[in-house]
Amino acid sequence: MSTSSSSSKKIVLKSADNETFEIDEIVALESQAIKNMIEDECADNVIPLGNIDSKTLSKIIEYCKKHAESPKKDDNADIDEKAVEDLKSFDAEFAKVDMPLIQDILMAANFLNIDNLIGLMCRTIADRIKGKTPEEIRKILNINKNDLLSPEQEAKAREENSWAFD
Amino acid sequence: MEDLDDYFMLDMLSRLDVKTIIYCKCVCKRWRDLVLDPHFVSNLHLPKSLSSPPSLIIHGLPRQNLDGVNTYGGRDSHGEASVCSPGFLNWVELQQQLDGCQLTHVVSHNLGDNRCSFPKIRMVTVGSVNGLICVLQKADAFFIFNPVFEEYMALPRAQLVAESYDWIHYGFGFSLASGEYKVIRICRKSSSIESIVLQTAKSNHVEIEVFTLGTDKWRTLGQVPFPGVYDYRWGSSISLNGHVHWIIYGKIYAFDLDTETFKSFPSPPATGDCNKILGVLKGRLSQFSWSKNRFTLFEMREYGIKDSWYQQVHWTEGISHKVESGWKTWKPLCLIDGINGTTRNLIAIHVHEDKLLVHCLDSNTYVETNVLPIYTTRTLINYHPSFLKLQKFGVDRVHPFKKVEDLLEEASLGPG
Repeated sequence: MSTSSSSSKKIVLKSADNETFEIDEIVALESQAIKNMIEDECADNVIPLGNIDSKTLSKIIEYCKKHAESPKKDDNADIDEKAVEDLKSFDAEFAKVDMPLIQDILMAANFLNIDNLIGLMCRTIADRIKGKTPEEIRKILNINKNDLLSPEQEAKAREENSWAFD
Repeated sequence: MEDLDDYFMLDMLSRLDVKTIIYCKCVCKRWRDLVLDPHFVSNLHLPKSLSSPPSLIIHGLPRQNLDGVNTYGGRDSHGEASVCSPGFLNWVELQQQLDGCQLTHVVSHNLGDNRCSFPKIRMVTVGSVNGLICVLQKADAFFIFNPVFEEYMALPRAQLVAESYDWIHYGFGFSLASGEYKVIRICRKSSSIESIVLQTAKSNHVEIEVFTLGTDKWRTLGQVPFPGVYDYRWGSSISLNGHVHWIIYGKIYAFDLDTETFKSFPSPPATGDCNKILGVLKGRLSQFSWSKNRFTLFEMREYGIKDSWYQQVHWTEGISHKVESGWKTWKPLCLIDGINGTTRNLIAIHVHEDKLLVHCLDSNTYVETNVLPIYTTRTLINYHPSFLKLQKFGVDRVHPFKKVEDLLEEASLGPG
């Protein structure tokens, strides 16, 4: 942690498995939900996040730190192109995790209301199934076996757009 | 993935290409229902598709049926039936290559094969809006396609009898005010010698009938003042902003689908070029005009405002220096946004060979591309794919393309 930020206000987040993370307030403000809590003054020093485990939470903090450090789009009209590129490549690296973690991050990002991160995770899932067959998609996303289409239903669903399966 | 909210699923789905969305539809019950849900189709996928660079629909004729067909975009006054196939509807995408944009085929629907039961006569393209394509056989049999699905809708026969008119034209668009899809048919009555001599014929009036998708009858608007000229060169209509548009002899005509009236429409400043086509680039009405060795592109920055016509591109050193014989050999057919959304492109067709030219107007550079060898191009229109189901406009009128198994069965039951 840099010395300049060590003097700023701190927020402590507590994961479901009782691990605590001390972060700068500015990082926590990336979450619209935490921001609202702080503004409404209903946040204690320690914010318990009972449905987010420590593995997911540390990933989310990593994301928020990077995005809090980067210049915001609306700050400056002619924003540094290098900073945009830098953030893009960070996002690309950040998303290189397995599918269960992506889903955990997505759900946590939804709870914490971090729009950019929700978008990034949805985009990542979309990229992973792009061009994949129904069988491959089921495997990648571990689709519930109880929800599968009957053979007749699947045949009908394919028939409507049979050109896509040629 | 059963834990994820529908909200995320829909967000994720709306980021996908059409083919993957079709695959998703077959993944499980929940996904199938999401893809077919009108909320996804109309509120999420369609706006995304409309704001993305379009694909193209090429209407082509099979090579063996080319006798007697000589023009590419043109048609005679009655869309008269010549003995030939309805042709192919080919969905083609622009792809960014190192040397510029290239065309790749997504799917080719052969309307002349036995899976569709169209009469073996010529078909013309009326227009395209929100992923729906309107085509026409003879002068009164209209069909709507959504190329994403293997089915078509047959509209009831138009009411004004073609033989009573000496000029008929068509348009297809979407009314913003009512959210309705409308097909219009403009008919000009032949004037008798007597009425011309006695000056009782209203030469500047036409009869118009309108078919609104979802209803079951054509509506006649009666005699309507008409600002245009009667010419067989009226091409496919350009649908934008609740209006359909055409350009004839350098003049733009617009029909307001909300008020159902013709409007005088402002043209851009004269360029001295006599050849013009109309199109939509970056969501704006655009006019491309050309002469021997130059071309100009105007964009209408504010819809309907004369002063907002802006000269976007003007090259005096035309492509004639680069491409063999220039516009004599290449006939401009349509305008299309580049794949990254920054370039404006013209698609032109070689008048003798089956080659298309994708010409980037901003940089005055071009790429030649071959189309499928099975057909020859007649018309090209912009196309934004959508998942709109035709059943929404009347289940009874929608016919699926027949399955191969059904055809085999028919063949075995048939005589001989």
